[in-house]
Amino acid sequence: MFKYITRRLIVTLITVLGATIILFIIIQFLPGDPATVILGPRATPEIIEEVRAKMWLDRPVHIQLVRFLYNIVRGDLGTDVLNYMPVSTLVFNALPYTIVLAITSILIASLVGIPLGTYAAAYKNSLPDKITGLLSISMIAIPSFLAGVLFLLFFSVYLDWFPAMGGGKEGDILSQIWHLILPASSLALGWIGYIARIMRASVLEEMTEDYVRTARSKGLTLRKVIFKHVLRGALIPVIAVIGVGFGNLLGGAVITEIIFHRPGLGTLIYNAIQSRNYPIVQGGLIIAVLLYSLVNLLADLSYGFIDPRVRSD
Amino acid sequence: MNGIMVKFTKSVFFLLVLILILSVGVVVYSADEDIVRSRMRLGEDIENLDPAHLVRGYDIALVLYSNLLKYKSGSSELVPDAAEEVDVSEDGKVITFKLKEGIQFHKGYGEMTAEDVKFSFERIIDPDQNSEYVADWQTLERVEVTGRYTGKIILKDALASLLVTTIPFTPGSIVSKKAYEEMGNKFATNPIGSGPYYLEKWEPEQVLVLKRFEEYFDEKPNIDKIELYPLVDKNISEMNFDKGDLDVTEISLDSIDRYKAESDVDVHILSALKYGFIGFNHKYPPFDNINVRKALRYAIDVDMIIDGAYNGVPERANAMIAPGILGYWEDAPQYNVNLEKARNLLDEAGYPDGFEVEMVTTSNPLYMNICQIAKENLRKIGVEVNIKIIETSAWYEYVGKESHPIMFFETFSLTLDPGYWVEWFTTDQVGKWNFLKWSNSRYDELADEAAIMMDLEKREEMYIEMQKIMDEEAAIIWLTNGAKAYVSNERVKPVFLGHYNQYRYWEITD
Repeated sequence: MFKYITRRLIVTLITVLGATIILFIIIQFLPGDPATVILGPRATPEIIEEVRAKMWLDRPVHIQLVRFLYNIVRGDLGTDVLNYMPVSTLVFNALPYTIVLAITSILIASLVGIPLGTYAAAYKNSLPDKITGLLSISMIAIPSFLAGVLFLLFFSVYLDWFPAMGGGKEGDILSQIWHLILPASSLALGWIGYIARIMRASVLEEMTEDYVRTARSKGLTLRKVIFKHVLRGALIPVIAVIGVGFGNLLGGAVITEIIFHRPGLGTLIYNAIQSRNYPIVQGGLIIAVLLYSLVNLLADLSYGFIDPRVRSD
Repeated sequence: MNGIMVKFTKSVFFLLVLILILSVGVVVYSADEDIVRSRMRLGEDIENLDPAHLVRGYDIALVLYSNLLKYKSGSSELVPDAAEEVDVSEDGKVITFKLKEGIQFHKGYGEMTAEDVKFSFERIIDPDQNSEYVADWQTLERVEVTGRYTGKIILKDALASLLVTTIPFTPGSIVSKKAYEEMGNKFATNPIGSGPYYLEKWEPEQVLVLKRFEEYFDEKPNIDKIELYPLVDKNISEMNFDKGDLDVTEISLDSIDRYKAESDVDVHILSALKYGFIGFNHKYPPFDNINVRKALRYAIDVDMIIDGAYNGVPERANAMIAPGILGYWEDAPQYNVNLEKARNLLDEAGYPDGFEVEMVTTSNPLYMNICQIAKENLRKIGVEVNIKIIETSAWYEYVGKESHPIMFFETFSLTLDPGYWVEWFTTDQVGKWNFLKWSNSRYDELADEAAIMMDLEKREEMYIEMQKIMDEEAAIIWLTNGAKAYVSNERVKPVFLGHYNQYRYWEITD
C-alpha cells in the first residue's frame, strides 16, 4: 500500500509540474499585451514598460518560467501588479469558497444520484425506472450555466426563497449555507443525472456476478445483497467519475460563480484573464491544477480501500 | 425491497425538513435599511484606489477624496470643495488657493493642509511614480506652500483642461501625505482622503463598502453605507435589482421599456459621452480614396443602426463632440442614405461593381449587431462585408498595429474637456490610439493650440474647425454619442453629475 501511495504521489507531482509548464506557455500566447490591457488608453510608453518589467514580460519566456517555478517552490505566487497585493492572499481567500461549492455539489449529486441509480437498477424496466431514466438524461442535457440562470430567476427572483448574489455574510454560517444552496444545486444538477445513470448500469452489471447469485441462493434478501455486497463494487466507477468530474465541476464553477456573484477561484481567474493580470491567472491556475490532481489522487486511493483488487495490480 | 422505499421516504422527509429550516433562516436574515447597494460602474472591480494610479472607479475617487474644486451636481458649474477660494492669474500660469480650515482626513490622519495639496499634485509628475495622469498635469512646475492653508500652483504653461477635468477629478484628488508616507504601496488598497465616505472594506471581485465619514467638513450624506458590487453581466444585475438586492444598477438599453412599465422604478437615461463610429483605415486601399469613403457615408443607414442596435435610445451624432461639451458643432451636416450618390461616387473612384472587404469589431454583442446592419447597408452598393470578431482584450493591440480595413468601435467614456475627445485622431497617435491612421497637419496644429487656449470662445471655434476638417475628408462615419440607462428603486434618488456618467453617491437621498 505504501509503495502504491508513493507511486501515485510521484505521478501526481509530475502531472502538476507538466500542467504548470504547459499553462505557463499557453498564457504567454494569449493575444493582447497585458500591460496595455491593464493600463488602458491613458498609459504612456514609459508606464507600459514599467509594468512589463514588473511582470518580467521583458525577459525571455524560459527565464520567466524558471523564476516562476523557483518562486512556487518557495511558496511565493507573486504579486498583483496593480495593487501590490500578494497573489497567494487573493487565491487563498477565494479557494475555500470554490472548494465548498464543489464539495457541496458533489455531495448533493451523490446523495441524490446514487440512491436514484440504485433504485432504478433494483426496479429495472419498471415505470419508476423509466421515469428516473428520462429525468437523468434531461438533467445531463441542461448545462450548469443554464440551470444557474433558471434557478436564479425562479427560486430567487420569482419565489424569493434564496439570495441571488454573494457568498453570504462573513462569519455567519447560516447565511453562507443559504447562499450556497442555489449555486451548488445548479452545478450538481447535471451530475445527479450522470451519477444516477452510471450507478444504475454499475449495479446491474454487478448483479450479474456469480457471488450475487450465490448470496441470493443462500436466501439473502435483495436489499441485503445490494447494501452488503453490490454497492461496494458498484461504487468504484462512480468514484472514478466523481474524481475526473471534479475538474469539469471546477470549470462549471467558473460560470456558476459569475452568475451568482460568488467569490471563488473561478471568478478570480476569469476576471484576471479578462484584464490579463498574469500573476493572478498563473497563481490561480496552478492552485486549480493542484486541487484537481489531489482530488484525482484521493479518488484513486479510495478505490484501493473499497476494492482491494485495485491495490494489487 | 420495502426497506429501500422506507429509506427513500426518510431521506425525502429529511430534505424537506432541511429546506424548511433554511427557509425560516431567510426570513430572519433581513437587510439593513441604511445601506444602498449598487452595481459598480461598468461592472468592473477596482484595482487601485490611489488617485495617481486609479484607472477604474473614478466615481469612487469622487467620494473618497476632496478636490480644490468640484462640479455642482447636475450642472457644469464649478464650485469650491476643499478650497475656500481659487484664483487663476490672467495668463493662466498661477493658480492660488486657500483651503477651508479644519478639514479632517479619514481614520484619524489629521487636518488637511497646503502640504497635502503640494504632495498630492507634485507626486503625479514625479517620474518615479509613473502616474497614469502625468499628461493631465503636464504643465505643472511646482506647488508653492505659502501658509498652513494657502498655496500657489505654478505652471510652465497655461492648460485649458486643468480647471475642467484635472482639478475637479481623479488627478486633482487630495490625499493625506502622512498616510501615504506611512503606507507606501499599501495606500492602493487603503486610501485616505477627506471625502464624505471612507473605504470600510474591499473584498476583491465581491464587494466594496463605503462608510459615511462622520467628520466630513461639508454637508453629510443621508446614507450610512454604500455597497458596490462588480457584477460583470448587466442581465444578472437586472435580476438582482428585480429581486431587491440592488437599489441602483445600470441596465441594458433593451430593458428600458420593461422598467418604464413599473411604477416603483425610476429609469434614468443619460448621454454616454463617447462616440461610436465606423472608421476607415486611411492607409488601406481603397479607403485612401476620398470618394470611396464618401460613398460609404451615403450608404450607411445611421438611423437604422440606432433603432436596430441601440433600441432607438440615443440621439444620432453628426460630429464628434457631444451636446453640452465645449466644441459641440450644432450645424454639422447630416448624411442621409442616398444609394444613387453612393454608387456614383464608387463609380468615380473606379469601383463600379463594388468590392469585398473585412470589417472588424470586438465580441461585444452591440458591436456585432451594428456590423450586421452595416453589412446589409453596404451590400446595396455592391460592397460585400465579412465581419471579423477580435477578442476585446486583444483589440487595442490589433487595431493599433494591424492593417485592418474598416471597423466599428466606441471609445471609452470621455471627460468634460474636448481635448480628450480630439486626441484620438492626432498624427502622433497613429500606431497607438489613432485607429484610423488618419493624419492631418492642420488638425494636429489646432489640437495643440486649443489645449492651451484660455479664451473659451476661441477654443470652441478651434474644436469645431477640427470637426469640419474630419467632415470634409469624410474621415469617419459618426453614429452616436451613445446612451446609458440606469434604474433605481423608490428609496434611492441618485443624482447624476451633468454629462459625466457617474453617480454622486454622497447625494443619494432616502
